[in-house]
Amino acid sequence: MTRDEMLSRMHCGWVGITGEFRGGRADIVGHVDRKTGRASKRIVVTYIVECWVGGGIGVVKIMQRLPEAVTDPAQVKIELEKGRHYAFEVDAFSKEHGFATAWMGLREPVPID
Amino acid sequence: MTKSKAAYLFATQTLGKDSLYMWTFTFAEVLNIKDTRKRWNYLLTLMKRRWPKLAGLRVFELHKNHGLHVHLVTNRWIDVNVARKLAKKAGWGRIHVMRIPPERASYLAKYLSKQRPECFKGWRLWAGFGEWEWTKVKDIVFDSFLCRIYRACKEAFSWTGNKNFRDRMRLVQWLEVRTITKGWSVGLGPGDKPYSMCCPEELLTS
Repeated sequence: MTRDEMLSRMHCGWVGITGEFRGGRADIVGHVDRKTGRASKRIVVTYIVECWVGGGIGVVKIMQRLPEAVTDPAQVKIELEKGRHYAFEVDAFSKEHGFATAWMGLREPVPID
Repeated sequence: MTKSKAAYLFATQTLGKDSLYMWTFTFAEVLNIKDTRKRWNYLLTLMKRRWPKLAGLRVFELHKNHGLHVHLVTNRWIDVNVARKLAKKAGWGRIHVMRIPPERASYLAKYLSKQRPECFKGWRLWAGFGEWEWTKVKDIVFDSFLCRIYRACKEAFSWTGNKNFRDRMRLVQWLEVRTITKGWSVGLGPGDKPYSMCCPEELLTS
Protein backbone atom coordinates (compact mmCIF):
# COMPACT_ATOMS: atom_id res chain seq x y z
CA MET A 1 0.00 0.00 0.00
CA THR A 2 1.33 3.42 -0.83
CA ARG A 3 1.18 6.36 1.57
CA ASP A 4 -1.42 8.06 -0.63
CA GLU A 5 -3.61 4.97 -0.63
CA MET A 6 -3.36 4.81 3.14
CA LEU A 7 -4.19 8.49 3.49
CA SER A 8 -7.26 8.09 1.32
CA ARG A 9 -8.35 5.11 3.44
CA MET A 10 -7.89 7.18 6.59
CA HIS A 11 -10.05 9.91 5.10
CA CYS A 12 -12.74 7.26 4.60
CA GLY A 13 -12.65 6.39 8.31
CA TRP A 14 -10.08 3.59 8.40
CA VAL A 15 -8.91 2.91 11.97
CA GLY A 16 -5.52 1.41 12.40
CA ILE A 17 -1.96 1.61 13.59
CA THR A 18 0.99 2.19 11.36
CA GLY A 19 4.49 1.64 12.57
CA GLU A 20 7.71 -0.27 12.36
CA PHE A 21 7.34 -3.98 12.95
CA ARG A 22 9.73 -5.05 15.73
CA GLY A 23 8.77 -8.66 16.28
CA GLY A 24 5.94 -11.14 16.50
CA ARG A 25 5.07 -14.38 18.15
CA ALA A 26 2.22 -16.89 18.13
CA ASP A 27 1.28 -18.39 21.46
CA ILE A 28 -1.45 -20.31 23.24
CA VAL A 29 -3.91 -18.42 25.39
CA GLY A 30 -6.51 -20.28 27.31
CA HIS A 31 -8.21 -21.48 30.43
CA VAL A 32 -7.68 -24.80 32.17
CA ASP A 33 -9.97 -26.40 34.72
CA ARG A 34 -7.72 -27.72 37.47
CA LYS A 35 -10.26 -30.30 38.63
CA THR A 36 -11.25 -31.94 35.37
CA GLY A 37 -8.24 -31.00 33.28
CA ARG A 38 -10.46 -29.57 30.54
CA ALA A 39 -8.95 -26.76 28.55
CA SER A 40 -10.17 -24.15 26.14
CA LYS A 41 -7.35 -22.75 24.07
CA ARG A 42 -6.87 -20.32 21.23
CA ILE A 43 -3.81 -19.21 19.36
CA VAL A 44 -3.05 -15.52 19.62
CA VAL A 45 -0.45 -13.74 17.53
CA THR A 46 1.25 -10.76 19.17
CA TYR A 47 2.87 -8.12 17.00
CA ILE A 48 5.16 -5.52 18.55
CA VAL A 49 5.05 -2.28 16.61
CA GLU A 50 7.06 0.84 17.24
CA CYS A 51 5.06 3.97 16.62
CA TRP A 52 4.12 7.38 17.96
CA VAL A 53 2.08 6.73 21.08
CA GLY A 54 1.25 8.80 24.14
CA GLY A 55 3.23 11.83 22.96
CA GLY A 56 6.44 9.99 22.10
CA ILE A 57 7.94 7.02 20.33
CA GLY A 58 6.86 3.84 22.04
CA VAL A 59 5.76 0.31 21.39
CA VAL A 60 2.25 -0.99 20.92
CA LYS A 61 1.25 -4.57 21.35
CA ILE A 62 -1.20 -5.71 18.67
CA MET A 63 -2.97 -8.98 19.31
CA GLN A 64 -4.68 -11.12 16.70
CA ARG A 65 -6.84 -14.05 17.74
CA LEU A 66 -6.69 -16.85 15.17
CA PRO A 67 -9.58 -19.18 14.26
CA GLU A 68 -10.14 -22.33 16.33
CA ALA A 69 -8.93 -24.44 13.42
CA VAL A 70 -5.37 -23.30 14.18
CA THR A 71 -4.28 -25.34 17.18
CA ASP A 72 -0.52 -25.28 17.12
CA PRO A 73 1.53 -22.06 17.40
CA ALA A 74 4.24 -23.72 15.29
CA GLN A 75 1.76 -23.77 12.37
CA VAL A 76 1.72 -19.99 12.34
CA LYS A 77 4.28 -18.31 10.16
CA ILE A 78 4.80 -14.62 10.74
CA GLU A 79 6.12 -13.36 7.46
CA LEU A 80 6.49 -9.73 8.38
CA GLU A 81 9.88 -8.14 7.92
CA LYS A 82 11.50 -6.61 11.00
CA GLY A 83 12.22 -2.92 10.57
CA ARG A 84 9.65 -2.45 7.80
CA HIS A 85 6.58 -0.25 8.17
CA TYR A 86 3.16 -1.87 8.18
CA ALA A 87 -0.44 -0.78 8.57
CA PHE A 88 -2.51 -2.81 11.03
CA GLU A 89 -6.26 -2.45 10.82
CA VAL A 90 -7.45 -2.71 14.42
CA ASP A 91 -10.82 -3.41 16.03
CA ALA A 92 -10.16 -2.23 19.60
CA PHE A 93 -7.65 -0.34 21.72
CA SER A 94 -6.89 -0.39 25.42
CA LYS A 95 -4.27 0.96 27.76
CA GLU A 96 -3.34 -1.35 30.59
CA HIS A 97 -0.76 -0.40 33.21
CA GLY A 98 0.52 2.34 30.95
CA PHE A 99 0.94 0.02 28.00
CA ALA A 100 -0.99 0.44 24.77
CA THR A 101 -2.59 -2.71 23.42
CA ALA A 102 -4.74 -3.13 20.34
CA TRP A 103 -6.76 -6.00 18.91
CA MET A 104 -7.02 -6.70 15.22
CA GLY A 105 -9.28 -8.96 13.17
CA LEU A 106 -8.11 -11.56 10.70
CA ARG A 107 -6.99 -9.05 8.09
CA GLU A 108 -3.28 -9.31 7.46
CA PRO A 109 -0.99 -6.31 8.12
CA VAL A 110 -0.24 -4.40 4.92
CA PRO A 111 3.29 -3.18 4.14
CA ILE A 112 3.60 0.53 3.46
CA ASP A 113 5.87 1.59 0.63
CA MET B 1 -12.88 -14.26 28.08
CA THR B 2 -13.25 -13.93 31.83
CA LYS B 3 -12.53 -16.76 34.23
CA SER B 4 -16.19 -16.74 35.22
CA LYS B 5 -17.32 -17.29 31.65
CA ALA B 6 -14.71 -20.01 31.15
CA ALA B 7 -15.91 -21.75 34.33
CA TYR B 8 -19.51 -21.53 33.09
CA LEU B 9 -18.56 -23.07 29.73
CA PHE B 10 -16.73 -25.94 31.42
CA ALA B 11 -19.71 -26.47 33.72
CA THR B 12 -22.07 -26.74 30.72
CA GLN B 13 -19.83 -29.46 29.31
CA THR B 14 -20.16 -31.42 32.57
CA LEU B 15 -23.92 -30.93 32.73
CA GLY B 16 -24.67 -31.62 29.12
CA LYS B 17 -24.38 -35.33 28.50
CA ASP B 18 -27.90 -35.89 27.20
CA SER B 19 -30.39 -33.31 26.07
CA LEU B 20 -30.98 -30.27 28.22
CA TYR B 21 -33.78 -27.81 28.82
CA MET B 22 -33.39 -24.07 28.71
CA TRP B 23 -35.80 -22.05 30.83
CA THR B 24 -36.46 -18.33 30.99
CA PHE B 25 -38.32 -16.78 33.93
CA THR B 26 -39.60 -13.23 33.66
CA PHE B 27 -42.06 -10.86 35.33
CA ALA B 28 -45.00 -9.02 33.88
CA GLU B 29 -43.78 -5.78 35.48
CA VAL B 30 -40.29 -4.45 36.22
CA LEU B 31 -39.31 -5.16 39.81
CA ASN B 32 -36.62 -4.06 42.19
CA ILE B 33 -33.52 -6.21 41.62
CA LYS B 34 -33.20 -7.32 45.24
CA ASP B 35 -36.87 -8.35 45.39
CA THR B 36 -36.46 -10.28 42.17
CA ARG B 37 -33.53 -12.17 43.60
CA LYS B 38 -35.52 -13.01 46.75
CA ARG B 39 -38.35 -14.31 44.58
CA TRP B 40 -35.87 -16.35 42.58
CA ASN B 41 -34.47 -17.94 45.76
CA TYR B 42 -38.00 -18.78 46.86
CA LEU B 43 -38.87 -20.30 43.48
CA LEU B 44 -35.68 -22.35 43.44
CA THR B 45 -36.50 -23.69 46.91
CA LEU B 46 -39.97 -24.69 45.72
CA MET B 47 -38.56 -26.36 42.62
CA LYS B 48 -35.93 -28.27 44.58
CA ARG B 49 -38.61 -29.50 46.97
CA ARG B 50 -40.77 -30.67 44.08
CA TRP B 51 -37.91 -32.18 42.02
CA PRO B 52 -35.10 -33.11 44.44
CA LYS B 53 -32.89 -34.45 41.64
CA LEU B 54 -33.15 -31.29 39.56
CA ALA B 55 -29.70 -29.96 38.65
CA GLY B 56 -28.50 -27.23 36.38
CA LEU B 57 -27.16 -23.76 35.95
CA ARG B 58 -28.71 -20.39 36.54
CA VAL B 59 -27.73 -17.16 34.77
CA PHE B 60 -28.98 -13.68 35.65
CA GLU B 61 -29.62 -11.24 32.84
CA LEU B 62 -30.46 -7.60 33.41
CA HIS B 63 -32.70 -6.84 30.47
CA LYS B 64 -32.52 -3.27 29.16
CA ASN B 65 -36.31 -2.79 29.35
CA HIS B 66 -37.74 -5.56 31.49
CA GLY B 67 -35.58 -5.81 34.61
CA LEU B 68 -34.04 -9.03 35.83
CA HIS B 69 -34.54 -12.23 33.87
CA VAL B 70 -33.43 -15.60 35.10
CA HIS B 71 -32.28 -18.23 32.65
CA LEU B 72 -31.81 -21.86 33.60
CA VAL B 73 -30.32 -24.87 31.95
CA THR B 74 -31.60 -28.05 33.56
CA ASN B 75 -30.68 -31.67 33.04
CA ARG B 76 -34.12 -33.31 33.23
CA TRP B 77 -37.62 -32.95 31.95
CA ILE B 78 -40.01 -31.32 34.38
CA ASP B 79 -43.65 -30.57 33.86
CA VAL B 80 -43.92 -26.97 32.76
CA ASN B 81 -47.49 -26.70 34.10
CA VAL B 82 -46.32 -27.65 37.59
CA ALA B 83 -43.36 -25.26 37.21
CA ARG B 84 -45.80 -22.49 36.21
CA LYS B 85 -47.91 -23.13 39.31
CA LEU B 86 -44.81 -22.92 41.50
CA ALA B 87 -43.66 -19.78 39.71
CA LYS B 88 -47.05 -18.18 40.23
CA LYS B 89 -46.87 -19.05 43.92
CA ALA B 90 -43.45 -17.37 44.10
CA GLY B 91 -44.76 -14.27 42.29
CA TRP B 92 -43.22 -14.85 38.87
CA GLY B 93 -44.75 -14.07 35.48
CA ARG B 94 -44.00 -15.66 32.13
CA ILE B 95 -42.08 -18.89 31.77
CA HIS B 96 -40.60 -20.21 28.59
CA VAL B 97 -38.88 -23.55 28.12
CA MET B 98 -37.27 -25.30 25.19
CA ARG B 99 -35.29 -28.45 24.67
CA ILE B 100 -31.71 -27.85 23.55
CA PRO B 101 -28.83 -30.08 22.49
CA PRO B 102 -25.95 -30.11 25.06
CA GLU B 103 -23.67 -28.02 22.87
CA ARG B 104 -26.22 -25.17 22.95
CA ALA B 105 -26.00 -24.83 26.75
CA SER B 106 -23.16 -22.40 26.21
CA TYR B 107 -25.63 -20.00 24.59
CA LEU B 108 -26.33 -18.39 27.96
CA ALA B 109 -22.65 -17.47 28.23
CA LYS B 110 -23.44 -14.45 26.08
CA TYR B 111 -25.06 -12.84 29.13
CA LEU B 112 -21.78 -13.25 30.98
CA SER B 113 -19.97 -11.29 28.27
CA LYS B 114 -22.03 -8.18 28.91
CA GLN B 115 -20.55 -5.52 31.12
CA ARG B 116 -21.58 -6.17 34.72
CA PRO B 117 -24.23 -3.62 35.78
CA GLU B 118 -23.45 -1.76 39.00
CA CYS B 119 -26.44 -3.26 40.79
CA PHE B 120 -24.90 -6.72 40.26
CA LYS B 121 -21.80 -5.83 42.27
CA GLY B 122 -20.92 -8.74 44.54
CA TRP B 123 -23.47 -11.03 42.88
CA ARG B 124 -22.83 -14.31 41.20
CA LEU B 125 -23.89 -13.80 37.62
CA TRP B 126 -24.23 -17.54 37.27
CA ALA B 127 -24.40 -20.44 39.69
CA GLY B 128 -25.08 -24.13 39.70
CA PHE B 129 -27.82 -25.80 41.68
CA GLY B 130 -28.64 -29.37 42.61
CA GLU B 131 -26.42 -32.28 43.48
CA TRP B 132 -23.59 -32.14 40.97
CA GLU B 133 -20.04 -30.83 40.77
CA TRP B 134 -19.91 -27.79 38.55
CA THR B 135 -16.68 -25.97 37.73
CA LYS B 136 -15.90 -23.14 40.15
CA VAL B 137 -14.09 -19.96 39.15
CA LYS B 138 -11.36 -20.79 41.69
CA ASP B 139 -10.58 -23.97 39.73
CA ILE B 140 -9.81 -22.05 36.55
CA VAL B 141 -6.25 -21.22 35.65
CA PHE B 142 -5.62 -18.65 32.96
CA ASP B 143 -2.60 -19.36 30.84
CA SER B 144 -0.99 -16.91 28.45
CA PHE B 145 2.40 -15.72 27.34
CA LEU B 146 2.20 -12.74 29.73
CA CYS B 147 1.13 -14.97 32.64
CA ARG B 148 4.12 -17.23 32.13
CA ILE B 149 6.48 -14.26 32.20
CA TYR B 150 4.72 -12.94 35.32
CA ARG B 151 5.12 -16.31 37.06
CA ALA B 152 8.80 -16.44 36.11
CA CYS B 153 9.31 -12.92 37.52
CA LYS B 154 7.41 -13.80 40.66
CA GLU B 155 9.72 -16.72 41.24
CA ALA B 156 12.90 -14.88 40.29
CA PHE B 157 12.22 -11.75 42.31
CA SER B 158 10.34 -13.47 45.17
CA TRP B 159 7.24 -11.35 44.72
CA THR B 160 4.57 -11.85 47.34
CA GLY B 161 1.29 -10.04 47.88
CA ASN B 162 0.09 -7.17 45.72
CA LYS B 163 2.70 -4.60 46.69
CA ASN B 164 3.78 -2.40 43.74
CA PHE B 165 1.50 -4.34 41.43
CA ARG B 166 1.43 -1.62 38.77
CA ASP B 167 5.23 -1.40 38.66
CA ARG B 168 5.44 -5.17 38.47
CA MET B 169 3.00 -5.26 35.57
CA ARG B 170 4.96 -2.58 33.75
CA LEU B 171 8.12 -4.69 34.13
CA VAL B 172 6.34 -7.85 32.98
CA GLN B 173 4.93 -6.10 29.94
CA TRP B 174 8.30 -4.67 29.08
CA LEU B 175 9.84 -8.16 29.41
CA GLU B 176 7.10 -9.49 27.13
CA VAL B 177 8.10 -6.98 24.48
CA ARG B 178 11.79 -7.81 24.93
CA THR B 179 11.07 -11.56 24.77
CA ILE B 180 9.23 -11.14 21.47
CA THR B 181 11.60 -8.69 19.84
CA LYS B 182 14.80 -10.40 20.97
CA GLY B 183 13.53 -13.96 20.55
CA TRP B 184 14.18 -15.00 24.15
CA SER B 185 12.64 -18.17 25.56
CA VAL B 186 9.49 -17.59 27.63
CA GLY B 187 10.32 -16.70 31.23
CA LEU B 188 14.05 -16.51 30.56
CA GLY B 189 16.41 -13.64 29.83
CA PRO B 190 19.19 -13.34 27.19
CA GLY B 191 21.18 -16.55 26.73
CA ASP B 192 18.37 -18.51 28.42
CA LYS B 193 19.45 -17.23 31.82
CA PRO B 194 16.77 -17.05 34.52
CA TYR B 195 15.72 -13.48 35.29
CA SER B 196 17.29 -13.72 38.73
CA MET B 197 20.73 -14.23 37.11
CA CYS B 198 20.43 -11.29 34.70
CA CYS B 199 21.62 -7.81 35.57
CA PRO B 200 18.97 -5.05 35.24
CA GLU B 201 20.66 -3.60 32.12
CA GLU B 202 20.33 -6.92 30.30
CA LEU B 203 16.62 -7.06 30.99
CA LEU B 204 15.65 -3.44 30.66
CA THR B 205 17.90 -1.74 28.13
CA SER B 206 16.65 -1.94 24.58
